[in-house]
Amino acid sequence: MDEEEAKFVGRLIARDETAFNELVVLFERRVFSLVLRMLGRQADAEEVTQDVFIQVFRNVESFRGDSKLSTWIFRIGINLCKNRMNYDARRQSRRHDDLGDYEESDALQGGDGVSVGAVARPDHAAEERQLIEVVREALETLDPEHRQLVILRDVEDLAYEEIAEVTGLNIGTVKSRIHRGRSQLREKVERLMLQRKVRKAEP
Amino acid sequence: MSEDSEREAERPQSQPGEGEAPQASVDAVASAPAGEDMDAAPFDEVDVRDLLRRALDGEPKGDSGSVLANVQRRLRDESKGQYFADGWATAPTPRETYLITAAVMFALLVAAWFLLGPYGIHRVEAAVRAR
Repeated sequence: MDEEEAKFVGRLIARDETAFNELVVLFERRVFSLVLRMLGRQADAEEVTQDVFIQVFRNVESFRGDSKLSTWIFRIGINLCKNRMNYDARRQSRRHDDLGDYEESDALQGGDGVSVGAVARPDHAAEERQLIEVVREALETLDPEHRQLVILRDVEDLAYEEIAEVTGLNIGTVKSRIHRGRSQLREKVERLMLQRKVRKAEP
Repeated sequence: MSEDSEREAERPQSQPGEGEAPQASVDAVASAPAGEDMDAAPFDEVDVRDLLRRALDGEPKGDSGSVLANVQRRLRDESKGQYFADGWATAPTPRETYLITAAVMFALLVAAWFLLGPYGIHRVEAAVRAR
């Protein structure tokens, strides 16, 4: 934690409301993006994002400065997402996919193959959209532990060390779980693509 | 290790049978001990990462809502008004209001001094005597 950040944290601990406003404005998009990607539902993401900042306000005294402030905030976000996912799992709530709200990347091009390697080289716009849907669907069905790690690494672009700090896992475990998450995701994408292909081929 | 070299390390060395379901590789991964460095993975995980990035890349379109206003309201409610007690915390610092208030108070003091100060009293007494 650098000197400037330490001063800022000091203001937060002193319950400086202006500092807290600055904090929310500074981090709200990043926290919201992470939470939405983790939960996949807009309404839940909005609520959990607010919860993150309320937790920060309540517990900022417990921030020891061992990590960056952003890492600490991310950790709170991850924990709240986990809690929410566990709660949802218990209630067996049906997932409504708001991930369709993501901007569709121009770079994404669909494919006509079943394998991940093949679908990465696309031909048609409809297949592009189908591929996006399939990847998101596959991600949704990935178990929460692997999903959070894969998102942090491959979408949020956090370094392994940062992920280890955020999740409290050691780096080796982080790497192996990310690897497993990716392989599970790949299998799911391939299976879903195959299912769609078969469905399409049926008269 | 830098981020780039880290990413490079994750790139598979060769891609035999690329495009086929990598069941054998997945099995090998599943049985690998936790903590083992998986960067030299035998199958193409780069494709998975690229797919994921393409599918989820960019900021979500959805609005994060009025996060600040909602958080302030919730903190105000929870703290029973101790924090974010009024609109002042959310508005820019109202310096003009303070300046106007100070000017009005100063004017009141001056007026009071003229009315009730030594000169003012003498004037009143003189006026009474004159009657």
